[in-house]
Amino acid sequence: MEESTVQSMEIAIRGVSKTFQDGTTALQPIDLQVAAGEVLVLLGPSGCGKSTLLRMIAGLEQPTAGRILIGDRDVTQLPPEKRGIGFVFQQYALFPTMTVEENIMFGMKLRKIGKQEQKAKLEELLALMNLTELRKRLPIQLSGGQQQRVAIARVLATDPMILLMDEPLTALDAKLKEHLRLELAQLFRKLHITTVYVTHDQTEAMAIADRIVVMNKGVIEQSGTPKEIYLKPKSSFVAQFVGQVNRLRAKVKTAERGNVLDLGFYQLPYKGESRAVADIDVFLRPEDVYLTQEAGFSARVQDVIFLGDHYRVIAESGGQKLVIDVGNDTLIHEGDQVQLEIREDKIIYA
Amino acid sequence: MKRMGVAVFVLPIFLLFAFFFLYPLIVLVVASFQRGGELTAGNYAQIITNPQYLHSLWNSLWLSLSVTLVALVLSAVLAFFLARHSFPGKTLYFTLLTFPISFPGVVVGFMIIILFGSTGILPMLSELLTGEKKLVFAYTIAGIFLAYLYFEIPRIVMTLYGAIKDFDQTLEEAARTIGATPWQAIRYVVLPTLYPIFLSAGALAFSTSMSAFGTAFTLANDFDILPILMYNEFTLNFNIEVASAIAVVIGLVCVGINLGYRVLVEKEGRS
Amino acid sequence: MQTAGKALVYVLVFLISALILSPLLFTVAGSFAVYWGADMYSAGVTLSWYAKVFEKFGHTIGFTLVLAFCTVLVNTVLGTMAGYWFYRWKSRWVFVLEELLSLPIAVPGIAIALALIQTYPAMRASGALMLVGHVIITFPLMFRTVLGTLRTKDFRTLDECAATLGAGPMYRFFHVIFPSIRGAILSGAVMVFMLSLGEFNMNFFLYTPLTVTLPIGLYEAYSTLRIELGSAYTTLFLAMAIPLMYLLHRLNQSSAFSRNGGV
Repeated sequence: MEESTVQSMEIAIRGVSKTFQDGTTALQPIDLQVAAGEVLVLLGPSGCGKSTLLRMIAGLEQPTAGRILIGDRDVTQLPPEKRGIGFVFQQYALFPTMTVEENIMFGMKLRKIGKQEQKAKLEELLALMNLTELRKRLPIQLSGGQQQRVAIARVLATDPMILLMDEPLTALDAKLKEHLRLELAQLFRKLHITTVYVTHDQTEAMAIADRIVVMNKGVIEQSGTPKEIYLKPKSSFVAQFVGQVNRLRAKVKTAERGNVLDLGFYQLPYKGESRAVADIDVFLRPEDVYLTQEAGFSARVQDVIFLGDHYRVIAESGGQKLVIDVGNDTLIHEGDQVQLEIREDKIIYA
Repeated sequence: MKRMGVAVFVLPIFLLFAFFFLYPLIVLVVASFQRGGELTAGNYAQIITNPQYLHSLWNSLWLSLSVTLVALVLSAVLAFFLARHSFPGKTLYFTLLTFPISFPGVVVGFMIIILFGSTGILPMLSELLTGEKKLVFAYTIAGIFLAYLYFEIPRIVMTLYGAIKDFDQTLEEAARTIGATPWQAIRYVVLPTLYPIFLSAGALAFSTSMSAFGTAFTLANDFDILPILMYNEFTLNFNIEVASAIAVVIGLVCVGINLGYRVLVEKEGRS
Repeated sequence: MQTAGKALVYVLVFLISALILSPLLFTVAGSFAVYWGADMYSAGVTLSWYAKVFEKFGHTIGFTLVLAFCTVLVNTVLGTMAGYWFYRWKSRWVFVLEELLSLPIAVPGIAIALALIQTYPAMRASGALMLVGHVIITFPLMFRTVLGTLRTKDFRTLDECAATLGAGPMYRFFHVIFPSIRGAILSGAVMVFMLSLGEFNMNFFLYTPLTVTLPIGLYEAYSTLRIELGSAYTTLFLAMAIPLMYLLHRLNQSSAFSRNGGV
């Protein structure tokens, strides 16, 4: 791509909310800033308002209140065709009566670009998305992955100032999804185009995002880099939605050298916010529990599931269930008594 | 702003619709309540009290009902037969059988004249065989009954055939493996599932028969059914108010049947 | 018992088929006979009945075709427009209004005819009232076919997609939506044409000596003229209707068509 011609824009969402005609509130008032060239992923379960927010940025829905700016232009009242956006739909939405070429040319034809330039751009995009061989085919003659590549090429052809993607990989099967996820991540790095990407798949979000915004029930739960979201979730919802997690009951107790977290089967120095004696819930990722020889605490193995690259072990200690991931070369069996270790800095206080 | 765009395109259609459909219907209803410039329900009272009118109403109702029931049974047999058998030329056969859907009533009437008219095929055949001309009943109630069957059967078959063909045959096969005979499988598994289709086809057939005019008029232009009575009031007696009242009655029966079966099917669907 | 049941089914299927198909056969056969009778072709074969039909009723055929073409033209525009905008329209009133626009299917043609002739008697002489009547009763066919097709496929996403690519509403309709619903519009047009071609009940109230349609002509032929001439005239109607009905079968729309039209 000629990166120079793509002028990336920032997006500002100011107090935008949405209540549908039937009275359901899809989105509480939201403020969000997307930097120029940033790939922002809206992550959340279905019905959390992420798609609604995306469709409002595109102009496919009208916000009930608030304003949306692309660059420094207020687009709140503009129809989608006047916003200079690119939108990739979950079901691809290829025009069934047009060939691959015609689909890609659709947006260019509307933009009064010179014939020569259109042609060059088409060839460039066909090559970029590996579609040159398929150029004369109709959408029904393409596989799901090919259709999605056409949909992306069609959007890029219009040199959009911002790119909006609504669960673009959800309709694909698992293997293809993984492959296209990597392709997309590489493409984004190459394009440097402001992108808002909606998904409910946290692995996808991790692979693609510069920044992830986790949403739930129409509000933003947390915004941060993939690492921050995974390692430092700010709420129990984020901790449980992103990745596998153990939820453990614990007591905070006062001791001589500062507070102590008592899990019942094990005690650790308390690192959470300062607080008095209390019952709390803490979270722990399966990969943050280690098998040891002597230290730590003892647990009983209830179940061992082989997952190829690792074992998932379900163990029990002091009445609490622990899910643990261990390497696939570990010798471990149902009914075993094992020694486990937890590091205090891996405990998630949300 | 978007909404305005829609309105600009749909408004002319609604205006035309109001001007040429709704308003004339209102005029019709208003006329049906008038007699000599006075507001009255007398026209409707007349339909119920005047023996000739009541007779027509009665004829229309029982003719439509009996034709609908007989046509439903015959069409079901034919539709099941077609859905469950395949033979060469079936598509052509099916196309020919359902072709009369496109006939105006006059042509349907003519078909019965060809079969049972005074120079019809069957009377001629009986004359040839017995020396006596029998079976000339095109211009009687029997002829009208057959004519109504003639336009109802293709319509009902058309509706039933698709549903029967789409019916999940594994259900029927399951019933057979449990020990049901083919008839029992149809009676206890297929029919209970398909009955909304029968209801819909029946409702449609009934209202088509109720409002049928050309068919009966071709065979006998003085037969006592509501549509012919309405026409005669309008053209022979110049009694537009009574004609309007009859039209309203026919219209209400048809629209009522249409709404009624849908409410019934919907209610069934919810429970 | 089971064989007896099967035999009964075959007998019934034969009788129904005979009732429906044999008069068609005899109509066509009789139209070429010099004399209609038990010894059908004893007096020879002739095309003179057809010549007589054209001489006496030729104008009805032309007029009916013009009327049907005009009805199709008007409803292609109105029905497609209404179908498309109803599809896009997001309002809780849509379903009520849709029922309203579909009402002409449920209201008998004779009632509509009687209503029209009382309300706009001045429009009768020119034949304009007949056109209005035909447009009204065939409108739901086109409207519902287009709307139904739009609803089965995800045209809303295609439409939204074209918008995000920069296409305005008009461009979207003609370049994205229209190519995909051409089939539905064609089906609708064929159905409208056939319904208009075969309409008798309404015409019988609205026609004047100058606006006699084919079905009215048929009625006159049946009630006053020889059966051979009636057969020839009917055969001409069949020759027009059969290809259209065949087309409807190919388009899988004959079932939708069967729910319309008075007899």
